[in-house]
Amino acid sequence: MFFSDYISYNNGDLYCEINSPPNATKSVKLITMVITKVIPIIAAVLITIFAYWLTIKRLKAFPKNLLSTFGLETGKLFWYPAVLILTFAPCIAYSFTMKLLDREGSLITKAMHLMLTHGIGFSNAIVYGIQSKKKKEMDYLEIRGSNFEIDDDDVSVEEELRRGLN
Amino acid sequence: MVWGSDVEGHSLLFNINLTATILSLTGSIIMSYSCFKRNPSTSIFLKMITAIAISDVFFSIANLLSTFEGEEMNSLCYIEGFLRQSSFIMTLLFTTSLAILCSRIANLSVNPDQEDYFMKSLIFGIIICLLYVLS
Repeated sequence: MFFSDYISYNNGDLYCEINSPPNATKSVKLITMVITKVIPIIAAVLITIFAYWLTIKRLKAFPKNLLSTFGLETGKLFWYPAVLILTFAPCIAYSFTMKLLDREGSLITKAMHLMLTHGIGFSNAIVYGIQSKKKKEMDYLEIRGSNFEIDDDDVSVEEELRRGLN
Repeated sequence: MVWGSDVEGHSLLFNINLTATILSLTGSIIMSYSCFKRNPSTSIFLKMITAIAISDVFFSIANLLSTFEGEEMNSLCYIEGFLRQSSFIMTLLFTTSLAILCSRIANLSVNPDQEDYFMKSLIFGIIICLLYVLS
């Protein structure tokens, strides 16, 4: 099976992953790396940044008192793509050094890769944990029924926002 | 073990990997637990975050498995490789899906069918993982 040829120890990389065979040419190494790592990561980062940018743009059109009542801070939305970049940038940098330049990565590159990429659960827990706390506040507001004052024109927006947040 | 002594700073790297993996595993398990406690079926956001947390758990397990690897290729290596790639894809996919969902909801004109959106993301992720394995 193709898969079994392409899964190997990254010699000196210290773990098993889908990878080009040890005797592969440079172009095969590059193609494998681009397909398995670079394309998914770059696509995810770009789509995430664009989607949150659209979200922020739209949220900024909402009345400020509405956003502050829900405790929404639009700038915080950029935490998610930032974590993606922080987590996977060392992974790409490390792979390029190892596979493309045929060099042993420096100790710092390896350490950064292991610390940040392999610590993804921790960074996601911090970022999405914060968001989860925010959601609890929203749930609370939803249950209690907020008594903030809004203009008549804002009522439909407020209803739509509540619907969306649920 | 794979973390051979010929690798520069191998003991340091081994310890860094182990620390990062344990932190990651703990964080993702706590995140999954808190999501399940709040019943993910009530909100699509919770569902998505739960999916990210579960993917992170599997990614951490794959990293943890490398601690027990021998010098030779074995079935553990295949399991690790498959777990690593599929959980990596799933994490990226659900993070991206969550971002897209946020922008669609903020747009207000779209009220996505929550169950449908989640299932579509899941199926898309499974197909991509299978493509990686079987192509």
